[in-house]
Amino acid sequence: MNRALTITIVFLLGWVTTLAQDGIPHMGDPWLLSEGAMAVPSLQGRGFKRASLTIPSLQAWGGNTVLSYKALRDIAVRDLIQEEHIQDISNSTDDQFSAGVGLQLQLLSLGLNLGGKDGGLGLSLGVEHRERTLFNMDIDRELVTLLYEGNKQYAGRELLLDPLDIRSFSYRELGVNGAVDIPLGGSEDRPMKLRPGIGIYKVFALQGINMEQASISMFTRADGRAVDLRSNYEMNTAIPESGGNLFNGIGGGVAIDASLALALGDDMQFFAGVDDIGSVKFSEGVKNYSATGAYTFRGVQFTFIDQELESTVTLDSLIEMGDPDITEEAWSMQLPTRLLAGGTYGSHLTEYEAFPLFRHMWGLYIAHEFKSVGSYNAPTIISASYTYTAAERASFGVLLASNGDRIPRLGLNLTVRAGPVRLGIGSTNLSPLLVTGSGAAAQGQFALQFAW
Amino acid sequence: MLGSILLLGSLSGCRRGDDLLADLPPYHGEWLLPLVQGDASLIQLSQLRSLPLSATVNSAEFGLPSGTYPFVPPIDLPFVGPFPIAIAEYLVVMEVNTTDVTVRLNNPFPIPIGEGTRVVLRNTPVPGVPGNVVLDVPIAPQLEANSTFEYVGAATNIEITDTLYLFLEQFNSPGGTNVTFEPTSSSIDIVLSRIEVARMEISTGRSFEREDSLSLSIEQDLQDETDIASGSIVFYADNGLPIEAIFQGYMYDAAGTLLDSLFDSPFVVQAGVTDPTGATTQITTSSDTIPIDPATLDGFLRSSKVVLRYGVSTMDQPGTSVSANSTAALRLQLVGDIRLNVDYDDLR
Repeated sequence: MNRALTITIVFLLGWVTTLAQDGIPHMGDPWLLSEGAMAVPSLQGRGFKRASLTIPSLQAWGGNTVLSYKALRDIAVRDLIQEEHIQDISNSTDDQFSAGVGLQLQLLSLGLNLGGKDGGLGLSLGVEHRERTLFNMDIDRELVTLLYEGNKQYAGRELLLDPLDIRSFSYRELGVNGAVDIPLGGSEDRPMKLRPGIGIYKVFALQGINMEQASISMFTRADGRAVDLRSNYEMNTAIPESGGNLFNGIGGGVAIDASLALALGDDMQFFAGVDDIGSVKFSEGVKNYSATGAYTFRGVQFTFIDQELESTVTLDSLIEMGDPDITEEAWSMQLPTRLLAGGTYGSHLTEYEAFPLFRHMWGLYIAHEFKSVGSYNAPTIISASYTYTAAERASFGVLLASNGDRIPRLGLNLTVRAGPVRLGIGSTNLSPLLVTGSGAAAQGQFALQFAW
Repeated sequence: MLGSILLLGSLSGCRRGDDLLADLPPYHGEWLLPLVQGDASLIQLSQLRSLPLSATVNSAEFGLPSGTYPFVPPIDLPFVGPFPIAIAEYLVVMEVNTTDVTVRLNNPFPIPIGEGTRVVLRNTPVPGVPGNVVLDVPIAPQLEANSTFEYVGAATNIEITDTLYLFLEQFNSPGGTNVTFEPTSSSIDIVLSRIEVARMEISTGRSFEREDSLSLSIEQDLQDETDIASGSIVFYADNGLPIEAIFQGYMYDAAGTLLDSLFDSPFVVQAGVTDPTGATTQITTSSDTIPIDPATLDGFLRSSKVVLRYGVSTMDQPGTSVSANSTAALRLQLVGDIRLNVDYDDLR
């Protein structure tokens, strides 16, 4: 394929989109390909010859759909909340304001390549330990508008304040993964290999909040003489009690990763996998809140009592709306299952001996999250990457991605190698530092790996 | 878990609440909301919620004027009275489902009041007939000289008219020897409370007014905030009572100087319509608007007392009387159509 055409298609695909979530760490980095094995086990064993030890790998991200990086900086650093910041939300064309943050820490990642004629790419096994904390919320834009601008503009029409969604989840995964090559034939210069992979992890749930459902509506009568409120919500929480067992967590489950990779020679690789299939059941520190109700507010009630004018506030039904039924039944939370797929193409094979290393490497990836926790927008992201490797010592990558933000994401990666030590640092999203538009998201990642 | 710790760590660096408040931008929300509402029935407006009744009886009423008597023979009279008690001249009849009753009668006389004597309240001055009895309380045991009888109970399905008549019926006493009757009178106090009214019928061509005052204490810091809000407050009155009502409020400063009035002219609430059973057949809605502007707010913020004056009238009602039952009411409601202008920095 014409290279220029390939590049064009890859980049166009990276921009087209509508969707979002963070993908595989260190995408497109030939030295740290195995970092993706925690999500796509078929990538285990890639990027090193015999063994790798990563201590640690850190990935953090966050974003929102409206406030720009500059606005967030004003609020967080300069203690300054401008009217325009609230108006940014209020005037947004999106139906909802969403925000999310996530933190992933791989304290230990051990990979081994067993067998294979080149000492690698045969059977690969790994041991992984990952900590994840995810939080996201969705607030109806008109709720912000209502609070900021008042209800007068909504008089005479029903205001639906959906969604009101909050999810928070922290968990630890400890387990093993592995992948094996299955030769499929192909030509001599382009042998085909199928590489199924699987990972099985014990999950320790550390905390969880899940808004199962929440609907709120408000109707202000045109003359203002009554305001009708209706709400229906159900929220499950599991918060560890003080002094609880932090290591074992307050719930548990099993997570399974499954993937399939296809190699068409050394230079062309494709993969697809599903990360975190499964759920956890919270059994300790559980409180489930639910309430359904309707309330019509006609003002604070005044009554005549014993010939004196007395005021009483009769808000019983409103209190009932906010006074939920509470149960302590164990509840389950689906893991943030993701579909991850992609492919890489390398050109200009170097003389590096540990594994096939290409001077130029192109990648195209898609990540789709089925259960949106920690994302702040629609759950799919498409990314395209290019990585240049110089002198078999360092790689520099650039990445473009889109998830429906108004501006595409721009990411940069740098990995340097000295002997068995590999140090990777970068971001899949530096856009807010470069563009002061509306909507802001950022991501950062770091990995220290020893490989032999 | 490390992630949780990091998140908590970042939260611990949050600023204090008052600093955050000061950093908020000025607030200019426009709100259309009901503020307060109240229902008033006819009994509430007519001050008959709790009804104290009292009468006095001196010894001459049972044939023993003050003085010393060597011998008083036993007394047995069919009744002593009537002692009229005025309730309200506008009242035709008040039909009461239930009411709590307290009766207290002291005996300052030198002879006992015998067991079987009855304290009877009637709505006509005719004793001994069953159809006009409001309350009938027998005295037991015998009420000795210089002691007090007290009864606490309830009455059901009674009718109270503009005037009630108290009797001591089947009045008896064993008499006595060498006794002296002072001019002191016996007092009979009856209190009807927690009156549950079924229907009330009042005369037309009547009116009365009442006043209530509220003390205000508005912080000095707020007294200059005359631009904190603008817009209006709308008074609504949904009147299901067959009476016209009128409302006004006056704001005074600490020196008693009139600063402003609530309405430019008193708020007149047109009468509703009821049928003879007292049920509302037509609710009449009236409204008036109070503008919220710096001058009005200045008057309110500097006032230390608000006098609320209200009156009810049946002057314009046809016929001789109108009725209202327990479901008929006058509903008052205040609705704010207000734009808030809050600068948090000024409020610190």
